[in-house]
Amino acid sequence: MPDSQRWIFRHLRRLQWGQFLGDCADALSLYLIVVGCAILLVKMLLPAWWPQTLWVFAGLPLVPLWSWRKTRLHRFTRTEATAMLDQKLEAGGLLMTLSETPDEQWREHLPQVESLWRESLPRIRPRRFVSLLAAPVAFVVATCFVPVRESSSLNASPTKVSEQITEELEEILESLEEANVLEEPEKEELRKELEKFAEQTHDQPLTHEQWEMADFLRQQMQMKWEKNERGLEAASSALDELMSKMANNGEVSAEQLEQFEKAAGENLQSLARKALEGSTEGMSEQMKQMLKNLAQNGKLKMPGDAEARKKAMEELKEMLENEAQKLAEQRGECQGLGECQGLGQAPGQGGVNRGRADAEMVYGKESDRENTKFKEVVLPPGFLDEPSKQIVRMTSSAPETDPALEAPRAAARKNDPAAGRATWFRKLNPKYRGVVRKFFNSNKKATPIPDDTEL
Amino acid sequence: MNNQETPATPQSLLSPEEVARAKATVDHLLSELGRAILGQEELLRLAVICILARGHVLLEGLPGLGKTELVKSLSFLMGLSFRRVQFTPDLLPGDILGSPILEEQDGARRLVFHKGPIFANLLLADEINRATPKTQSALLEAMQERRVTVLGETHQLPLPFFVLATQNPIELEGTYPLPEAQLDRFTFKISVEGVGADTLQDIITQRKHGVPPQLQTVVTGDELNHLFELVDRIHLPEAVANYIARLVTSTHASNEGAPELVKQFVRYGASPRAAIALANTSRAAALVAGKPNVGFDDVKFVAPSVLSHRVILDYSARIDGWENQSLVRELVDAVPEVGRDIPADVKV
Repeated sequence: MPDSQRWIFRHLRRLQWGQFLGDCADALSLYLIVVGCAILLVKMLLPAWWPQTLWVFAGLPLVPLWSWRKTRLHRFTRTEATAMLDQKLEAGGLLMTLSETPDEQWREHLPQVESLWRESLPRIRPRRFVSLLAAPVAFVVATCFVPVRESSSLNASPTKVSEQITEELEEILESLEEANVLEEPEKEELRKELEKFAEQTHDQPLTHEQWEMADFLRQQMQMKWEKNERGLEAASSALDELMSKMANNGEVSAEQLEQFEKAAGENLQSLARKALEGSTEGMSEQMKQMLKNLAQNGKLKMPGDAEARKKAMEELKEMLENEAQKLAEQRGECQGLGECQGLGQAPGQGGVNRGRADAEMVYGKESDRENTKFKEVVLPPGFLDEPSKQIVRMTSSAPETDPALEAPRAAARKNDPAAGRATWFRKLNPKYRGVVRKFFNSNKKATPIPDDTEL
Repeated sequence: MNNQETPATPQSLLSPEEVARAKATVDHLLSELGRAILGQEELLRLAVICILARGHVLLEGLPGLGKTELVKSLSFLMGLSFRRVQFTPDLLPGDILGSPILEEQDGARRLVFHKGPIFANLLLADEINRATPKTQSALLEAMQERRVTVLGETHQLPLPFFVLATQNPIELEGTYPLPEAQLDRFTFKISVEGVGADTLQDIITQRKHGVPPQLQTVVTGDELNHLFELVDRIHLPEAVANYIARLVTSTHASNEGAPELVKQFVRYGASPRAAIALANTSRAAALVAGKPNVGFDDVKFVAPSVLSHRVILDYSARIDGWENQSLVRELVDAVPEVGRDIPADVKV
């Protein structure tokens, strides 16, 4: 005879499982939607919190526990389960009655076939559970695939930007100092400028002028790098030329050696300074001596012996290559500064910048210095209109001059080698002569040719 | 002294033999009734259930459907004293209850109470709605308390006491609809429907001049009292009691769990007396069905008869064509047997 109490218990347990699945589905779907929204919000608004946000999944095991507790609090009673089973068995209330008032005689009137009891048990079909959770799970998975918004410097305050700019400039200066690129006066001058800049921009947003100042300082320091690199390059090419001549002729002339000495004297000052300061790792004694000579006298004083000279030249070449490579690396590091500090170097990526004009300009396939078609031509230095100090006449008083008119011209002539009489006497291409003549109206003899001041 | 009450021990169930004997008696009664009233099995069953539940019955139906014959047959079959009162507008309470009459006994005059027709086991109140409310209200105390008070004297009615009233739903001119309080005292209100052609043919062939067959008493007074005891011992499971309570509560529009139909059309719901009547008649129905306990089906069987006259409909229900009986049937269908929904992830 089937044990009715056991079947009631099984029925009750299955009902509770069904109830738990329902509660769990409700709670889990709500939890997943909240988690998905949180992930989305963090990825959109607070990207810095993203990895930590994954900890919200730690609460996932708590949801079934909470659901189980809820199920326990609102669980089906034994009476309810019995009533349901009674209905399913079509016992007409006898099962309920016997559950409350056991009676052996009436017990025989319950269904006696066990399969009937088994078929009356409810079956767990978690369709609602699956259908309810499908959408939230898909939502959470989708939110996990949403890319994290790149953090920009929109959060950076203007004062912070000025601090960053100052720091960047200081770092570039330090890099220059480490590379021993700067001479002492230059170093001092840049240091002073930078201190002044830092003082002006301390706890203040950068003004337009200060931005320009920062650009100027950055450009100045960049130029120092370039100058040093060019020097090394020039020395290296001079050395190459000398070595190739040596290889062709077997020996170099004193004039060629002199030219190399001159080029080295002009371009290897930074290397010489290093030698003087003692940073001569891996150098031979001979090379150290040569660089010291260069620093003190402006000349390398290559060894007289051809073999020794060749060896020194090879060592110098190797050293120049190493130095150029080192310099390039340092410069690369220096150029990297500021790119990731919210300066908006990359156009369209937000940040505090000065517009798209900051975008790096890439021209394409430019020819290098060696293969360039048009060689740089340095004009001879100009001279003043009246360079001669020949006495024209003696006056009783001081000569009458207008310093206001003379000063700019003098400054211009001093700095611009192409200015002055050389320019005046330069041969003019025939095809431009008509234009020049028309401009100056040279046919009218009465009109004097305007001087430089009027131009 | 220990004042704590000892917990009531659960009453033992009726034995299968007791139930079988009771069922046989009731079946015999029903079969004899079926001889008198043809083709109205459900009506007869309901009437017997109500009698076993010691309730009063209000039969409503068109003339000639056998309402009065049913009551008369019941009284014959159960061997009960029977009185019939034809209610008319000029009927007075004293005509039913009885009245004190001045009599001279042993040289002294005094008022002697002469019992009215209500002093019987079975009172047939024919066309009860034709009497005035004053006369109708004379039945109130008798139906509820089973006693009568006249001139300050209370007289106990013979037990068992049943009122079986009939009323005609047509010819309403000059009638007095029963007040709600009095309606509530009727355990059942049964609508007597017409019979089919086959039944009618049987009636024509078996009843010459409409004379009913001769009936013999089937149930004696003692047997009836024993049946009453058995009805009281029918077990009412907790879940079924809960169902009855929810069913009665659902007739109230103010109840949150009430079906939309009730909220829309019902003005007043059933009283606790209705719940008691429902439980009692369900017990009787279970005994008639030969069970030691009440099941949901027993409740559903008697619920329309118990609740239909206790639910007062809104005027909008009348406009929409709802009858009390049909609305209660809808309500019974709408209220689930178990007050909890089966979880969606469980397939029963």
